[in-house]
Amino acid sequence: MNALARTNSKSSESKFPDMLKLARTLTLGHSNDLILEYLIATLAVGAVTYVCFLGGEWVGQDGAIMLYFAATYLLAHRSTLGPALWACILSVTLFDYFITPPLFQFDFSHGVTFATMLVLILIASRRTARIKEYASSLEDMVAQRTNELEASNKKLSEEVARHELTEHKLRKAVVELGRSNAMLQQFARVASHDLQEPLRVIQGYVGLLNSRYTEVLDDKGKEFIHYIDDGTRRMEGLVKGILEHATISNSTKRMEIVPVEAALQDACANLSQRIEETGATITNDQLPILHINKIQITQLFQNLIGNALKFQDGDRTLKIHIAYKKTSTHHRFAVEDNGIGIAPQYQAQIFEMFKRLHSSKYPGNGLGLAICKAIIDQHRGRIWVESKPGVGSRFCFEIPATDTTKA
Amino acid sequence: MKKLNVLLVEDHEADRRLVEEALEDCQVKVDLSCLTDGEQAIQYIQGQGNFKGARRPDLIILDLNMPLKDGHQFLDEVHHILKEEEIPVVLLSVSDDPADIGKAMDKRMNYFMSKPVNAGRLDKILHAVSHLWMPVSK
Repeated sequence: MNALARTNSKSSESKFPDMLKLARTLTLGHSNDLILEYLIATLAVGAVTYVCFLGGEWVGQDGAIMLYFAATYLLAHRSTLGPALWACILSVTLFDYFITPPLFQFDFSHGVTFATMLVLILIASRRTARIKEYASSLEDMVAQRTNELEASNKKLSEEVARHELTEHKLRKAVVELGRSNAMLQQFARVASHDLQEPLRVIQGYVGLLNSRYTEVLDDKGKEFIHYIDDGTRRMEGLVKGILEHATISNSTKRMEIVPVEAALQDACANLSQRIEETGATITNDQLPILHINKIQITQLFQNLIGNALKFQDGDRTLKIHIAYKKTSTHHRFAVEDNGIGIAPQYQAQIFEMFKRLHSSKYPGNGLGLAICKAIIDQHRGRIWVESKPGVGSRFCFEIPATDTTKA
Repeated sequence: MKKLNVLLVEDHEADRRLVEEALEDCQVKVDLSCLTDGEQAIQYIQGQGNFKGARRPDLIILDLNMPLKDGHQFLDEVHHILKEEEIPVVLLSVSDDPADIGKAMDKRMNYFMSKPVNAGRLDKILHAVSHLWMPVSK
Protein backbone atom coordinates (compact mmCIF):
# COMPACT_ATOMS: atom_id res chain seq x y z
CA MET A 1 0.00 0.00 0.00
CA ASN A 2 1.79 3.12 -1.14
CA ALA A 3 1.80 6.55 0.40
CA LEU A 4 -0.54 7.93 -2.23
CA ALA A 5 -3.28 5.48 -1.37
CA ARG A 6 -2.77 6.17 2.30
CA THR A 7 -3.27 9.93 1.93
CA ASN A 8 -6.33 9.22 -0.23
CA SER A 9 -8.01 7.15 2.41
CA LYS A 10 -7.02 9.63 5.07
CA SER A 11 -8.39 12.55 3.11
CA SER A 12 -11.67 10.81 2.38
CA GLU A 13 -12.18 10.13 6.07
CA SER A 14 -11.20 13.51 7.42
CA LYS A 15 -13.04 15.89 5.08
CA PHE A 16 -16.31 16.32 7.02
CA PRO A 17 -15.25 17.20 10.56
CA ASP A 18 -12.93 20.04 9.62
CA MET A 19 -13.94 22.87 7.25
CA LEU A 20 -10.34 23.97 6.72
CA LYS A 21 -9.28 20.44 5.95
CA LEU A 22 -12.22 20.27 3.56
CA ALA A 23 -11.15 23.41 1.75
CA ARG A 24 -7.57 22.08 1.50
CA THR A 25 -8.71 18.76 0.23
CA LEU A 26 -11.00 20.35 -2.32
CA THR A 27 -8.27 22.55 -3.71
CA LEU A 28 -5.06 20.57 -3.21
CA GLY A 29 -5.99 17.02 -2.38
CA HIS A 30 -6.67 14.15 -4.76
CA SER A 31 -9.84 12.20 -4.69
CA ASN A 32 -10.58 8.89 -6.34
CA ASP A 33 -14.20 9.77 -6.53
CA LEU A 34 -14.76 10.92 -10.12
CA ILE A 35 -18.29 12.20 -9.58
CA LEU A 36 -16.99 14.45 -6.83
CA GLU A 37 -14.39 15.79 -9.21
CA TYR A 38 -16.99 16.68 -11.81
CA LEU A 39 -19.08 18.26 -9.12
CA ILE A 40 -16.19 20.34 -7.90
CA ALA A 41 -15.39 21.39 -11.47
CA THR A 42 -19.00 22.43 -12.04
CA LEU A 43 -19.16 24.33 -8.77
CA ALA A 44 -15.89 26.10 -9.45
CA VAL A 45 -16.90 27.25 -12.91
CA GLY A 46 -20.34 28.15 -11.57
CA ALA A 47 -18.77 30.21 -8.81
CA VAL A 48 -16.58 32.10 -11.28
CA THR A 49 -19.64 32.78 -13.50
CA TYR A 50 -21.59 34.11 -10.53
CA VAL A 51 -18.74 36.40 -9.50
CA CYS A 52 -18.31 37.74 -13.05
CA PHE A 53 -22.04 38.23 -13.55
CA LEU A 54 -22.40 40.12 -10.32
CA GLY A 55 -19.22 42.06 -10.87
CA GLY A 56 -20.33 43.20 -14.30
CA GLU A 57 -18.45 46.32 -15.54
CA TRP A 58 -15.94 46.18 -12.68
CA VAL A 59 -14.74 42.67 -13.65
CA GLY A 60 -15.18 43.14 -17.38
CA GLN A 61 -14.89 40.53 -20.12
CA ASP A 62 -11.10 40.38 -19.94
CA GLY A 63 -11.23 39.88 -16.20
CA ALA A 64 -13.80 37.15 -16.66
CA ILE A 65 -11.61 35.37 -19.17
CA MET A 66 -8.69 35.42 -16.74
CA LEU A 67 -10.83 34.05 -13.93
CA TYR A 68 -12.11 31.23 -16.11
CA PHE A 69 -8.53 30.45 -17.21
CA ALA A 70 -7.36 30.39 -13.60
CA ALA A 71 -10.18 28.09 -12.51
CA THR A 72 -9.72 25.59 -15.32
CA TYR A 73 -5.91 25.61 -14.92
CA LEU A 74 -6.17 24.91 -11.20
CA LEU A 75 -8.66 22.15 -11.86
CA ALA A 76 -6.33 20.60 -14.44
CA HIS A 77 -3.67 20.42 -11.75
CA ARG A 78 -5.74 18.63 -9.21
CA SER A 79 -8.01 16.32 -11.11
CA THR A 80 -7.95 13.89 -13.97
CA LEU A 81 -8.42 14.98 -17.55
CA GLY A 82 -12.19 14.36 -17.69
CA PRO A 83 -13.37 16.92 -15.14
CA ALA A 84 -10.83 19.45 -16.43
CA LEU A 85 -12.17 19.15 -19.97
CA TRP A 86 -15.71 19.49 -18.64
CA ALA A 87 -14.68 22.63 -16.79
CA CYS A 88 -13.20 24.01 -20.01
CA ILE A 89 -16.33 23.39 -22.05
CA LEU A 90 -18.58 24.65 -19.26
CA SER A 91 -16.48 27.79 -18.85
CA VAL A 92 -16.72 28.78 -22.50
CA THR A 93 -20.46 28.01 -22.62
CA LEU A 94 -21.27 30.05 -19.54
CA PHE A 95 -18.96 32.82 -20.65
CA ASP A 96 -20.82 32.97 -23.94
CA TYR A 97 -24.26 32.83 -22.34
CA PHE A 98 -23.92 34.94 -19.24
CA ILE A 99 -21.04 37.30 -19.79
CA THR A 100 -20.59 38.32 -23.42
CA PRO A 101 -23.32 40.22 -25.24
CA PRO A 102 -25.77 39.35 -26.49
CA LEU A 103 -26.53 38.06 -22.97
CA PHE A 104 -28.52 34.93 -22.38
CA GLN A 105 -27.84 33.82 -25.91
CA PHE A 106 -25.34 31.42 -27.45
CA ASP A 107 -23.38 32.85 -30.36
CA PHE A 108 -20.48 30.36 -30.39
CA SER A 109 -17.86 32.94 -31.31
CA HIS A 110 -15.17 32.11 -28.74
CA GLY A 111 -13.23 29.53 -30.70
CA VAL A 112 -9.79 31.01 -29.91
CA THR A 113 -10.56 31.23 -26.18
CA PHE A 114 -11.80 27.68 -26.16
CA ALA A 115 -8.84 26.36 -28.14
CA THR A 116 -6.26 28.11 -25.93
CA MET A 117 -7.94 26.91 -22.75
CA LEU A 118 -8.07 23.40 -24.13
CA VAL A 119 -4.40 23.34 -25.00
CA LEU A 120 -3.43 24.72 -21.59
CA ILE A 121 -5.44 22.20 -19.64
CA LEU A 122 -4.18 19.35 -21.77
CA ILE A 123 -0.58 20.35 -21.03
CA ALA A 124 -1.26 20.92 -17.34
CA SER A 125 -3.16 17.67 -17.06
CA ARG A 126 -0.42 15.67 -18.71
CA ARG A 127 2.20 17.23 -16.48
CA THR A 128 0.15 16.47 -13.43
CA ALA A 129 -0.34 12.88 -14.53
CA ARG A 130 3.40 12.44 -15.05
CA ILE A 131 4.25 13.99 -11.71
CA LYS A 132 1.78 11.68 -10.05
CA GLU A 133 3.42 8.75 -11.84
CA TYR A 134 6.91 9.74 -10.74
CA ALA A 135 5.78 10.32 -7.18
CA SER A 136 4.09 6.95 -7.11
CA SER A 137 7.06 5.08 -8.56
CA LEU A 138 9.43 6.92 -6.22
CA GLU A 139 7.32 5.90 -3.29
CA ASP A 140 7.37 2.32 -4.55
CA MET A 141 11.16 2.41 -4.84
CA VAL A 142 11.56 3.90 -1.40
CA ALA A 143 9.30 1.25 0.06
CA GLN A 144 11.23 -1.49 -1.69
CA ARG A 145 14.60 -0.14 -0.59
CA THR A 146 13.34 0.22 2.94
CA ASN A 147 12.27 -3.41 2.93
CA GLU A 148 15.63 -4.49 1.57
CA LEU A 149 17.47 -2.45 4.19
CA GLU A 150 15.36 -3.89 6.94
CA ALA A 151 16.03 -7.41 5.72
CA SER A 152 19.80 -6.92 5.52
CA ASN A 153 19.79 -5.11 8.84
CA LYS A 154 18.09 -8.06 10.39
CA LYS A 155 20.65 -10.41 8.87
CA LEU A 156 23.53 -8.26 10.10
CA SER A 157 22.26 -8.11 13.63
CA GLU A 158 21.78 -11.88 13.59
CA GLU A 159 25.39 -12.28 12.46
CA VAL A 160 26.65 -9.90 15.08
CA ALA A 161 24.75 -11.86 17.70
CA ARG A 162 26.32 -15.08 16.39
CA HIS A 163 29.80 -13.58 16.49
CA GLU A 164 29.28 -12.31 19.99
CA LEU A 165 28.19 -15.75 21.05
CA THR A 166 31.25 -17.32 19.45
CA GLU A 167 33.52 -14.75 21.09
CA HIS A 168 31.92 -15.43 24.43
CA LYS A 169 32.40 -19.16 23.98
CA LEU A 170 36.02 -18.65 22.94
CA ARG A 171 36.73 -16.50 25.93
CA LYS A 172 35.22 -19.08 28.20
CA ALA A 173 37.29 -21.80 26.55
CA VAL A 174 40.49 -19.77 26.97
CA VAL A 175 39.78 -19.23 30.65
CA GLU A 176 38.98 -22.92 31.04
CA LEU A 177 42.20 -23.95 29.30
CA GLY A 178 44.25 -21.61 31.43
CA ARG A 179 42.78 -23.12 34.56
CA SER A 180 43.21 -26.71 33.40
CA ASN A 181 46.81 -26.00 32.41
CA ALA A 182 47.59 -24.52 35.79
CA MET A 183 46.01 -27.51 37.49
CA LEU A 184 48.02 -29.99 35.42
CA GLN A 185 51.26 -28.23 36.21
CA GLN A 186 50.48 -28.15 39.87
CA PHE A 187 49.62 -31.82 39.72
CA ALA A 188 52.93 -32.63 38.08
CA ARG A 189 54.81 -30.68 40.73
CA VAL A 190 52.96 -32.21 43.64
CA ALA A 191 53.11 -35.73 42.19
CA SER A 192 56.86 -35.49 41.64
CA HIS A 193 57.36 -34.35 45.20
CA ASP A 194 55.13 -37.05 46.64
CA LEU A 195 56.66 -39.73 44.46
CA GLN A 196 60.11 -38.94 45.73
CA GLU A 197 59.12 -39.84 49.28
CA PRO A 198 58.65 -43.63 48.94
CA LEU A 199 61.59 -43.62 46.57
CA ARG A 200 63.79 -42.34 49.37
CA VAL A 201 62.51 -45.10 51.63
CA ILE A 202 63.45 -47.79 49.14
CA GLN A 203 66.85 -46.24 48.50
CA GLY A 204 67.44 -46.02 52.20
CA TYR A 205 66.75 -49.69 52.92
CA VAL A 206 68.59 -50.89 49.85
CA GLY A 207 71.55 -48.97 51.13
CA LEU A 208 71.27 -50.75 54.49
CA LEU A 209 70.99 -54.17 52.85
CA ASN A 210 74.08 -53.36 50.81
CA SER A 211 76.13 -52.24 53.77
CA ARG A 212 75.03 -54.73 56.40
CA TYR A 213 74.13 -57.94 54.60
CA THR A 214 76.67 -58.25 51.76
CA GLU A 215 78.43 -61.24 53.37
CA VAL A 216 75.14 -63.09 53.79
CA LEU A 217 74.14 -62.50 50.17
CA ASP A 218 75.25 -64.76 47.37
CA ASP A 219 76.09 -63.46 43.90
CA LYS A 220 72.51 -63.56 42.80
CA GLY A 221 71.41 -61.71 45.92
CA LYS A 222 73.96 -58.97 45.23
CA GLU A 223 72.78 -58.87 41.61
CA PHE A 224 69.18 -58.45 42.70
CA ILE A 225 70.07 -55.61 45.03
CA HIS A 226 71.96 -53.97 42.20
CA TYR A 227 68.85 -54.07 40.03
CA ILE A 228 66.71 -52.56 42.81
CA ASP A 229 69.20 -49.77 43.29
CA ASP A 230 69.40 -49.16 39.56
CA GLY A 231 65.62 -49.09 39.29
CA THR A 232 65.23 -46.51 42.06
CA ARG A 233 67.93 -44.35 40.51
CA ARG A 234 66.14 -44.43 37.19
CA MET A 235 62.90 -43.50 38.86
CA GLU A 236 64.56 -40.62 40.63
CA GLY A 237 65.81 -39.32 37.29
CA LEU A 238 62.35 -39.61 35.76
CA VAL A 239 60.58 -37.90 38.65
CA LYS A 240 63.09 -35.07 38.65
CA GLY A 241 62.72 -34.78 34.89
CA ILE A 242 58.94 -34.54 35.13
CA LEU A 243 59.29 -31.87 37.78
CA GLU A 244 61.69 -29.90 35.60
CA HIS A 245 59.39 -30.20 32.61
CA ALA A 246 56.36 -29.04 34.58
CA THR A 247 58.04 -25.95 35.98
CA ILE A 248 59.35 -24.59 32.72
CA SER A 249 56.37 -22.43 31.87
CA ASN A 250 56.45 -20.92 35.35
CA SER A 251 59.64 -18.97 35.08
CA THR A 252 58.60 -16.31 32.54
CA LYS A 253 59.25 -13.67 35.17
CA ARG A 254 62.97 -14.24 34.94
CA MET A 255 63.49 -13.10 31.36
CA GLU A 256 66.45 -10.74 31.05
CA ILE A 257 68.89 -9.42 28.47
CA VAL A 258 71.96 -11.67 28.59
CA PRO A 259 74.79 -12.76 26.31
CA VAL A 260 73.95 -16.24 25.02
CA GLU A 261 77.65 -17.10 25.39
CA ALA A 262 77.29 -16.82 29.17
CA ALA A 263 74.59 -19.52 29.16
CA LEU A 264 76.82 -21.72 26.97
CA GLN A 265 79.76 -21.28 29.31
CA ASP A 266 77.67 -22.19 32.36
CA ALA A 267 76.47 -25.35 30.61
CA CYS A 268 80.02 -26.37 29.69
CA ALA A 269 81.16 -25.70 33.25
CA ASN A 270 78.46 -28.07 34.53
CA LEU A 271 79.62 -30.74 32.08
CA SER A 272 83.34 -30.09 32.50
CA GLN A 273 84.17 -33.51 33.91
CA ARG A 274 82.47 -35.43 31.12
CA ILE A 275 83.99 -33.13 28.50
CA GLU A 276 87.43 -33.87 29.88
CA GLU A 277 86.77 -37.62 30.03
CA THR A 278 85.66 -37.85 26.41
CA GLY A 279 88.35 -35.47 25.16
CA ALA A 280 85.77 -33.57 23.15
CA THR A 281 86.44 -30.15 21.62
CA ILE A 282 83.71 -27.50 21.80
CA THR A 283 83.77 -24.39 19.58
CA ASN A 284 81.25 -21.66 18.87
CA ASP A 285 80.43 -18.78 16.52
CA GLN A 286 80.07 -15.30 17.95
CA LEU A 287 76.80 -15.36 19.87
CA PRO A 288 74.35 -12.47 20.35
CA ILE A 289 72.90 -10.78 23.42
CA LEU A 290 69.22 -11.68 23.75
CA HIS A 291 66.16 -11.34 25.95
CA ILE A 292 65.93 -14.85 27.38
CA ASN A 293 65.60 -16.90 30.53
CA LYS A 294 69.28 -17.55 31.26
CA ILE A 295 68.71 -20.56 33.53
CA GLN A 296 66.53 -22.29 30.96
CA ILE A 297 68.86 -21.63 28.01
CA THR A 298 71.75 -22.93 30.11
CA GLN A 299 69.68 -26.09 30.72
CA LEU A 300 68.98 -26.29 26.99
CA PHE A 301 72.68 -26.17 26.08
CA GLN A 302 73.48 -28.61 28.85
CA ASN A 303 70.96 -31.14 27.55
CA LEU A 304 72.04 -30.82 23.92
CA ILE A 305 75.79 -30.91 24.61
CA GLY A 306 75.22 -33.68 27.14
CA ASN A 307 73.50 -35.73 24.44
CA ALA A 308 76.37 -35.09 22.04
CA LEU A 309 78.81 -36.30 24.68
CA LYS A 310 76.69 -39.39 25.28
CA PHE A 311 76.00 -40.48 21.71
CA GLN A 312 79.47 -40.08 20.29
CA ASP A 313 80.91 -42.35 17.64
CA GLY A 314 83.60 -44.55 19.16
CA ASP A 315 85.73 -44.37 16.02
CA ARG A 316 86.45 -40.65 16.03
CA THR A 317 87.15 -37.79 18.43
CA LEU A 318 84.03 -35.88 19.37
CA LYS A 319 83.81 -32.37 17.92
CA ILE A 320 80.97 -30.11 19.01
CA HIS A 321 80.29 -26.73 17.42
CA ILE A 322 77.63 -24.14 18.32
CA ALA A 323 76.65 -22.20 15.22
CA TYR A 324 74.68 -18.96 15.03
CA LYS A 325 72.92 -17.19 12.18
CA LYS A 326 70.52 -14.29 12.16
CA THR A 327 67.68 -14.57 9.64
CA SER A 328 65.25 -11.73 8.87
CA THR A 329 62.83 -12.96 11.52
CA HIS A 330 64.74 -15.21 13.91
CA HIS A 331 67.94 -15.92 15.78
CA ARG A 332 68.95 -19.40 14.72
CA PHE A 333 71.36 -21.62 16.65
CA ALA A 334 72.67 -25.13 16.00
CA VAL A 335 74.53 -27.60 18.21
CA GLU A 336 76.48 -29.74 15.76
CA ASP A 337 78.31 -32.98 16.49
CA ASN A 338 80.00 -35.83 14.66
CA GLY A 339 78.36 -38.56 16.74
CA ILE A 340 76.27 -41.60 15.81
CA GLY A 341 73.43 -39.65 14.22
CA ILE A 342 69.70 -40.35 14.17
CA ALA A 343 67.72 -42.20 11.49
CA PRO A 344 65.14 -40.01 9.70
CA GLN A 345 62.09 -41.98 10.90
CA TYR A 346 62.88 -41.15 14.51
CA GLN A 347 63.86 -37.49 14.08
CA ALA A 348 60.43 -36.16 15.05
CA GLN A 349 59.52 -38.49 17.91
CA ILE A 350 62.68 -37.97 19.97
CA PHE A 351 61.28 -34.64 21.24
CA GLU A 352 58.37 -36.47 22.87
CA MET A 353 58.43 -37.23 26.56
CA PHE A 354 60.03 -40.54 27.60
CA LYS A 355 61.00 -41.37 24.03
CA ARG A 356 64.30 -43.22 23.90
CA LEU A 357 65.99 -44.90 20.97
CA HIS A 358 68.73 -46.90 22.65
CA SER A 359 67.49 -47.74 26.12
CA SER A 360 69.76 -50.73 26.56
CA LYS A 361 73.04 -49.22 25.45
CA TYR A 362 72.95 -45.61 26.62
CA PRO A 363 71.67 -44.18 29.90
CA GLY A 364 68.99 -41.51 30.03
CA ASN A 365 65.40 -40.89 31.09
CA GLY A 366 63.97 -39.81 27.73
CA LEU A 367 63.11 -36.31 28.97
CA GLY A 368 66.15 -34.24 27.94
CA LEU A 369 64.88 -33.28 24.49
CA ALA A 370 61.28 -32.91 25.71
CA ILE A 371 62.56 -30.36 28.22
CA CYS A 372 64.51 -28.58 25.46
CA LYS A 373 61.33 -28.39 23.41
CA ALA A 374 59.36 -27.01 26.36
CA ILE A 375 62.02 -24.35 26.92
CA ILE A 376 61.98 -23.32 23.26
CA ASP A 377 58.16 -23.28 23.22
CA GLN A 378 58.35 -20.97 26.21
CA HIS A 379 60.58 -18.63 24.17
CA ARG A 380 58.06 -18.84 21.29
CA GLY A 381 60.57 -20.53 18.98
CA ARG A 382 60.96 -23.95 17.45
CA ILE A 383 63.47 -26.81 17.67
CA TRP A 384 64.30 -29.62 15.26
CA VAL A 385 67.11 -31.93 14.23
CA GLU A 386 69.00 -32.54 11.00
CA SER A 387 70.97 -35.76 11.11
CA LYS A 388 72.57 -38.58 9.21
CA PRO A 389 73.28 -41.91 10.92
CA GLY A 390 77.00 -42.54 11.08
CA VAL A 391 77.88 -38.93 10.23
CA GLY A 392 76.49 -36.74 13.01
CA SER A 393 73.65 -34.49 14.09
CA ARG A 394 72.66 -30.84 14.03
CA PHE A 395 70.17 -29.86 16.71
CA CYS A 396 68.74 -26.50 15.55
CA PHE A 397 66.59 -24.06 17.45
CA GLU A 398 65.46 -20.54 16.71
CA ILE A 399 64.00 -17.69 18.73
CA PRO A 400 61.99 -14.85 17.17
CA ALA A 401 63.87 -11.58 16.82
CA THR A 402 62.03 -8.78 18.58
CA ASP A 403 62.76 -5.13 19.22
CA THR A 404 64.23 -5.81 22.60
CA THR A 405 67.14 -7.86 21.23
CA LYS A 406 70.51 -6.72 20.10
CA ALA A 407 72.59 -8.77 17.67
CA MET B 1 58.97 -83.50 28.97
CA LYS B 2 60.74 -81.86 26.08
CA LYS B 3 62.41 -78.50 26.60
CA LEU B 4 60.57 -75.56 25.08
CA ASN B 5 62.30 -72.97 22.91
CA VAL B 6 61.31 -69.60 24.26
CA LEU B 7 62.16 -66.27 22.65
CA LEU B 8 62.18 -63.31 25.03
CA VAL B 9 62.06 -59.84 23.53
CA GLU B 10 62.76 -57.29 26.26
CA ASP B 11 65.02 -54.24 26.29
CA HIS B 12 65.53 -53.70 30.04
CA GLU B 13 68.12 -55.97 31.60
CA ALA B 14 66.42 -55.86 34.99
CA ASP B 15 63.15 -57.11 33.49
CA ARG B 16 64.98 -59.79 31.53
CA ARG B 17 66.54 -61.16 34.71
CA LEU B 18 63.13 -61.24 36.38
CA VAL B 19 61.73 -63.38 33.55
CA GLU B 20 64.79 -65.65 33.72
CA GLU B 21 64.37 -66.12 37.46
CA ALA B 22 60.65 -66.80 37.07
CA LEU B 23 61.37 -69.40 34.39
CA GLU B 24 63.80 -71.13 36.73
CA ASP B 25 60.98 -71.62 39.19
CA CYS B 26 58.80 -73.29 36.55
CA GLN B 27 58.35 -77.05 36.21
CA VAL B 28 58.56 -76.88 32.44
CA LYS B 29 62.15 -76.33 31.35
CA VAL B 30 63.06 -73.86 28.62
CA ASP B 31 65.90 -72.93 26.29
CA LEU B 32 65.81 -69.16 26.38
CA SER B 33 66.90 -66.82 23.59
CA CYS B 34 66.91 -63.09 24.25
CA LEU B 35 66.59 -60.10 21.97
CA THR B 36 66.54 -56.45 22.97
CA ASP B 37 64.31 -54.69 20.47
CA GLY B 38 61.44 -55.17 18.03
CA GLU B 39 63.65 -54.70 14.97
CA GLN B 40 65.83 -57.66 15.91
CA ALA B 41 62.76 -59.75 16.77
CA ILE B 42 61.25 -59.18 13.33
CA GLN B 43 64.48 -60.27 11.65
CA TYR B 44 64.66 -63.35 13.88
CA ILE B 45 61.14 -64.49 13.01
CA GLN B 46 61.69 -63.82 9.31
CA GLY B 47 64.97 -65.71 9.45
CA GLN B 48 66.90 -62.78 8.01
CA GLY B 49 70.32 -61.30 8.44
CA ASN B 50 72.15 -62.54 11.51
CA PHE B 51 69.30 -64.88 12.33
CA LYS B 52 69.34 -67.11 9.25
CA GLY B 53 68.48 -70.62 10.26
CA ALA B 54 67.42 -69.66 13.75
CA ARG B 55 65.29 -72.10 15.67
CA ARG B 56 61.55 -71.63 15.51
CA PRO B 57 60.44 -70.63 19.01
CA ASP B 58 57.62 -72.56 20.72
CA LEU B 59 56.61 -69.44 22.62
CA ILE B 60 57.40 -65.75 22.40
CA ILE B 61 57.41 -63.53 25.47
CA LEU B 62 57.14 -59.99 24.17
CA ASP B 63 57.50 -56.66 25.93
CA LEU B 64 55.19 -54.04 24.47
CA ASN B 65 57.26 -50.99 25.40
CA MET B 66 60.53 -51.00 23.51
CA PRO B 67 62.64 -48.45 21.66
CA LEU B 68 62.82 -48.43 17.85
CA LYS B 69 60.08 -50.91 16.90
CA ASP B 70 57.87 -51.70 19.87
CA GLY B 71 55.78 -54.81 20.63
CA HIS B 72 52.71 -53.59 18.73
CA GLN B 73 54.74 -52.93 15.59
CA PHE B 74 56.42 -56.35 15.82
CA LEU B 75 53.01 -58.03 15.94
CA ASP B 76 51.72 -55.96 13.03
CA GLU B 77 54.63 -57.00 10.84
CA VAL B 78 54.91 -60.73 11.53
CA HIS B 79 51.48 -61.90 12.69
CA HIS B 80 50.94 -63.84 9.48
CA ILE B 81 54.11 -65.87 10.13
CA LEU B 82 53.11 -66.39 13.76
CA LYS B 83 49.69 -67.58 12.66
CA GLU B 84 51.10 -69.91 10.03
CA GLU B 85 53.69 -71.37 12.37
CA GLU B 86 51.19 -71.38 15.24
CA ILE B 87 53.49 -69.63 17.67
CA PRO B 88 51.69 -68.32 20.75
CA VAL B 89 52.71 -64.99 22.21
CA VAL B 90 52.66 -63.74 25.79
CA LEU B 91 52.52 -59.97 25.94
CA LEU B 92 54.16 -58.16 28.83
CA SER B 93 53.26 -54.67 29.90
CA VAL B 94 53.55 -52.43 32.89
CA SER B 95 50.01 -51.26 32.56
CA ASP B 96 46.78 -53.05 33.29
CA ASP B 97 44.95 -50.31 31.45
CA PRO B 98 41.97 -51.99 29.72
CA ALA B 99 42.71 -49.96 26.59
CA ASP B 100 46.23 -51.40 26.28
CA ILE B 101 45.00 -54.96 26.94
CA GLY B 102 42.20 -54.49 24.43
CA LYS B 103 44.61 -53.24 21.81
CA ALA B 104 46.85 -56.27 22.29
CA MET B 105 43.99 -58.77 22.26
CA ASP B 106 42.67 -57.10 19.10
CA LYS B 107 45.61 -58.67 17.36
CA ARG B 108 44.26 -62.01 18.59
CA MET B 109 47.35 -62.85 20.59
CA ASN B 110 47.11 -65.45 23.14
CA TYR B 111 48.08 -64.09 26.52
CA PHE B 112 48.57 -60.85 28.32
CA MET B 113 50.59 -60.54 31.51
CA SER B 114 51.47 -57.50 33.51
CA LYS B 115 54.94 -57.11 34.92
CA PRO B 116 56.53 -58.24 37.08
CA VAL B 117 55.94 -61.78 35.78
CA ASN B 118 54.60 -64.34 38.16
CA ALA B 119 56.32 -67.76 38.00
CA GLY B 120 53.07 -69.61 38.75
CA ARG B 121 51.16 -68.05 35.85
CA LEU B 122 54.12 -68.43 33.52
CA ASP B 123 54.36 -72.12 34.37
CA LYS B 124 50.70 -72.68 33.54
CA ILE B 125 51.27 -71.13 30.12
CA LEU B 126 54.35 -73.26 29.52
CA HIS B 127 52.38 -76.35 30.43
CA ALA B 128 49.61 -75.40 28.03
CA VAL B 129 52.07 -74.80 25.22
CA SER B 130 53.86 -78.07 25.73
CA HIS B 131 50.64 -80.11 25.87
CA LEU B 132 48.44 -78.36 23.34
CA TRP B 133 50.77 -76.93 20.75
CA MET B 134 53.57 -79.38 20.59
CA PRO B 135 51.79 -82.17 18.69
CA VAL B 136 50.97 -79.88 15.74
CA SER B 137 54.35 -78.13 15.47
CA LYS B 138 56.88 -79.28 12.91
